Amino acid sequence: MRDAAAQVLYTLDWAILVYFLVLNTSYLVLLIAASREIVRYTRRRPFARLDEVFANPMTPPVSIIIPAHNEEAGILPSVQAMLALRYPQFEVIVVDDGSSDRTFAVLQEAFDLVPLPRALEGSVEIRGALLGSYAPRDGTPVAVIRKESVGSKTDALNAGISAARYPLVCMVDADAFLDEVALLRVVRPFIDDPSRVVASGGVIRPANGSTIHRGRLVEARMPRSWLARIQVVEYLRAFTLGRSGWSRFGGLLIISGAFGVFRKDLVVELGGYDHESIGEDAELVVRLHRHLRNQGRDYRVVFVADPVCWTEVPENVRVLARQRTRWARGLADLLRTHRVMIGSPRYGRVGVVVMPYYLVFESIGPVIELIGIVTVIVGLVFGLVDLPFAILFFLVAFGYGIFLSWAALAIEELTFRRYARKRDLVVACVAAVFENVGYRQLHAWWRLRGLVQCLRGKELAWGDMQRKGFLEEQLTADQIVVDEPALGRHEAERPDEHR
Amino acid sequence: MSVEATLEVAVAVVGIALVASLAAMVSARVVRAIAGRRRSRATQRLRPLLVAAAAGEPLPHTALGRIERRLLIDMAVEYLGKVRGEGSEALRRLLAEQGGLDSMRGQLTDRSAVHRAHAALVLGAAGDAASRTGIEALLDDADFEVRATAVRSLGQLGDPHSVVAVLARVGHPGRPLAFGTVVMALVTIGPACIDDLLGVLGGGRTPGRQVAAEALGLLDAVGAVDAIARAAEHDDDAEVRIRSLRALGRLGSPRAVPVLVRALDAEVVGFRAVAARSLGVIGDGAGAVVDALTRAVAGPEVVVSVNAAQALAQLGEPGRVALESLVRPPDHASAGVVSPTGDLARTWVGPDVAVAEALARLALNRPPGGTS
Repeated sequence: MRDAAAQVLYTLDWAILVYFLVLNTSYLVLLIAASREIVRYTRRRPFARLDEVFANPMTPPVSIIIPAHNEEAGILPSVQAMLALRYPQFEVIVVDDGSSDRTFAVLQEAFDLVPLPRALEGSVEIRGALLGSYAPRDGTPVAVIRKESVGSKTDALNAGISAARYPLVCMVDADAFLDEVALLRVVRPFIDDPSRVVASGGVIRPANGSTIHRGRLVEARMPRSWLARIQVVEYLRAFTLGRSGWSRFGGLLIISGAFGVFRKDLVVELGGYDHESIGEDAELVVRLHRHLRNQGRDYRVVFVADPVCWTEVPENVRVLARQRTRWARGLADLLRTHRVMIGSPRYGRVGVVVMPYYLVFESIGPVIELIGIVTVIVGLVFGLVDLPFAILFFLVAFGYGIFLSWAALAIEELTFRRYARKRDLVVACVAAVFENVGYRQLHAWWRLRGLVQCLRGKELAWGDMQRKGFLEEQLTADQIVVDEPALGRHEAERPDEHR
Repeated sequence: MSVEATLEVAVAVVGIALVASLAAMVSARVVRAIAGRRRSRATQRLRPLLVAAAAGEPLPHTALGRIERRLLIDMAVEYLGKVRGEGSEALRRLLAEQGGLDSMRGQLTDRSAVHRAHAALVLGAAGDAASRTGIEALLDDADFEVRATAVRSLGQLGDPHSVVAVLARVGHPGRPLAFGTVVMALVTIGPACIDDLLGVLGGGRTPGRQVAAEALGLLDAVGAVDAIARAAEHDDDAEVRIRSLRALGRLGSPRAVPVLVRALDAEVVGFRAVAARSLGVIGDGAGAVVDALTRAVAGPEVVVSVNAAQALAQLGEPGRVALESLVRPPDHASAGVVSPTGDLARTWVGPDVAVAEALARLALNRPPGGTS
C-alpha cells in the first residue's frame, strides 16, 4: 500500500514538474517577446508625434462611456478629469445605472444638466428601463443617461454604447482616471491602420498611495498596504507579460474593461456586451475574434504599452477574494461559452495557441498548483517525499515566480519607470517575494473557487466593491510636476493571467 | 536524470536569473540617473546658445562632445517646430554647421531602425531637400515607424515630386504606410499634389484612392469636386465612396449637393448617413435637399435618422420648419419613463427621438449631435 502511494506521488511529482516546466517555458517565451515589444515601443516613442495625432483631422472622435452606480463621491472629479484629456474631439457619456445616492444630482448641479432627448441604437439590448437623457446647458460634451439598474455593469455599458455618437467607444470605469495623453496613444493604431484595427487597449495600474491633484496623477507611489503593493507588482507583471507578450504574437485575448477602445460599428454589430457573461470585457474581445474570423475579415486587436489608466485596487482580503473569484469564474465561463474556438485552426493563433493556453494554464492552473502543494505536504507528512526534494521543489517554484515579477520590474525600470523613488523599487521587490509566498497560494484558492462555481453553474452574487477612494493632495504649483499621466480607481482589470 | 537532480539544476538557473534581474533593475536605475543628470546639465548649457542662434547670433566656438552634439541636434529639431521665418532658417544653418545634416544623411542607411527614423526626422524638420531621395528609400523600410517618419519628413520637405512615391506605397501588402500620416503629409505638401491625387482617385489601387479622397477633401480642392463626386457615386470600394462623400461635405460646394441627395437613397446605410451629415455641413436649404433629408429622417436606420435630423437643423429656417412638421403627438413619449427591452425600440429609437433631439439642440443652440 505504501509502495503504491509512493509510486502515485512519484508519478504526480513528475507530471507536475512537466506541467511546471511547460508553463514556465511559456512564461519565459512571453517575457522575452514582451520585453522586445516594450523596448521596441519605447525606443520608437519619440517618433510617435502625438502632436500630429492631435492635429490630424482624421483622428476619430471618441465616445467615452462611464458606467456609474452610486458613485456620488467620485463621479464629478472623474468626469472633469476626462474632460481635461488631451484629445481633439470626444464626448463623455455617463450612464447613471440606478444609483440610489446623489450621483445624478452631483452631475446635474455641476454641469447644469437639462433634458435632451437622445436617439439610441436599436440593435444593442438594454434590459433596465431608461429614465431620461440629459446634457449640460452650455454645450460641454457630456451626456448623462439615467436608467434603472438590473444589477449588471454590462447593461449600463450597453446603454452607453447605444447612446454613443462617435465611431470609437472607450469604456472607462467610473472611478478610474487616464493619463492626459492616454487617449491619443491608444487611438493612434486606429489612425495608422484604419481598415484593420478593431480594438485597442492600454495599461491598468493601481493608484493606491499615489499623489493625486485635480484628477491627475502627480507622483506614482507604492501603496501603504502590503496587499495593494502586491497587486501593483501583479498588475505590472500581468500587463508586461500578458498583454505585451500576446500582442507581440498577435493573440491578444483580453482588453481591459477599465480602459479599452473599440470600433463602435463592430460592437453594435455584435449586439454589445453579453448580458450573461461575467467577464464581459474579455468575452467581447473573444466574440470579436470569433465573429471576424468567421467572416474571414482581416483585423487587428492591439495593445499599446504605455497609455495608463489608474485605478484603485482592493486593500481588503475579503473584497479581493470576491473580485478574483469572480474573474476566475468569468474566464472559465468564457472558455466554456466559446469552447468551439479552443484548438480550432479556423481561429488562427487565438484558437490554436491562446485559448488552449488560457484553458490549461490560467483556468485549470490553480487546480494543478494546489494539487502540487498538497501532494508535497502529504508526502512530507507521511514520509513519502524527501525533505530535500520538497525544499528544492518550493525553491524552484517560488524562485521562478519571484524572477518573473522582478523581470517585469526590471523592464519597467528600463522603459517607463513610473515609480521614481528608490524606496518604491525596494518595496516592489519585497512585495514580489511576499506575492509568491502566501498571496499566490491564496490566489490559487480563490481561482479554484471561481472555477468550481462555473462548473456548478452557481448563481453569481454581485457585491459592491468597497473602495476607500483617493485622497486629493493639495499641492503648491512647484510641487506639481506632471510627467504625463493622470490618476484613477473602480473595478479594475484581471492581472491574474500570468502567475 | 532524477527529479532531484533536475530540480537542483533548476534552482541554480533560477538563482542566476534572480541575481541578473536584480542587477538589471539596479543598473538601469543608476545608469538612467547618471544619464538624466548629464542630459539636464547639457540642456541647461545649450538652451541659451540655441535661443541665441535662433535669433541669428553666431554660435560661440565651443567644443561639443558627442552627447552634447546629439542633444543640440535634437533640441534644434524641437525648436524648428516652434519657430518660423528667420529663426527657422538660422536653426537649419546651425544644423548644417554642426555637421548634423551630414551625419544624419549617413544615418539614413544605418542598421538601427531607431537611428534611421531619427535621421529622417531631423532631415525632414531641417527641410534638407538634398536628402529627399534617401528619405524616399525609407518608404520601403522594414520598420513601420521608420516608414511613418519618412512619410512625415517628406511632407515637411514639401516637394511634390515625392507624392507619386508615397502614393505608390500606400497599402503595400507587406509594408504598409500609416494611413493618417500619409494623408497629413500630403496635406502638408499642399495643393501641388492635387493633380497626382486626382490621377490616383481616378484609377489607382484601392488604398491609394482612399487616401486621395480623404486628402482632396482636406486640401480644400474645390476644383476636384466633380472627380470626387464621381468616386462617391461609382467607385467599387465602399470606403472610397464614404470618404468621398465626407470630402464633398468638407469642400462645401453646391455642385456636390445633387450627388449627396442621390446618396440618401443608396442601399448602404453608411453612404446615407455620411451623405446626410455632409448635406448638413454644406447647409444648402433648397427644397430638394430639405425634402430628401425629411424622407431620410423617417427611414428605419437610427444613424441615418439622427444625421438627417441634425442636418435639417443645420439648414436654417427651412430645416427647422421641416423638423417641426415631423413632430408627432407624444403618444408613447420620446422622453420620460419607458419600459425595458421590447418597448425600447419604439421609444428611444426612431425618427421621433431623432427629431426631438434635433429640435432640442436647436432650442439650446447646441452643435449638431449626429454620428460621425
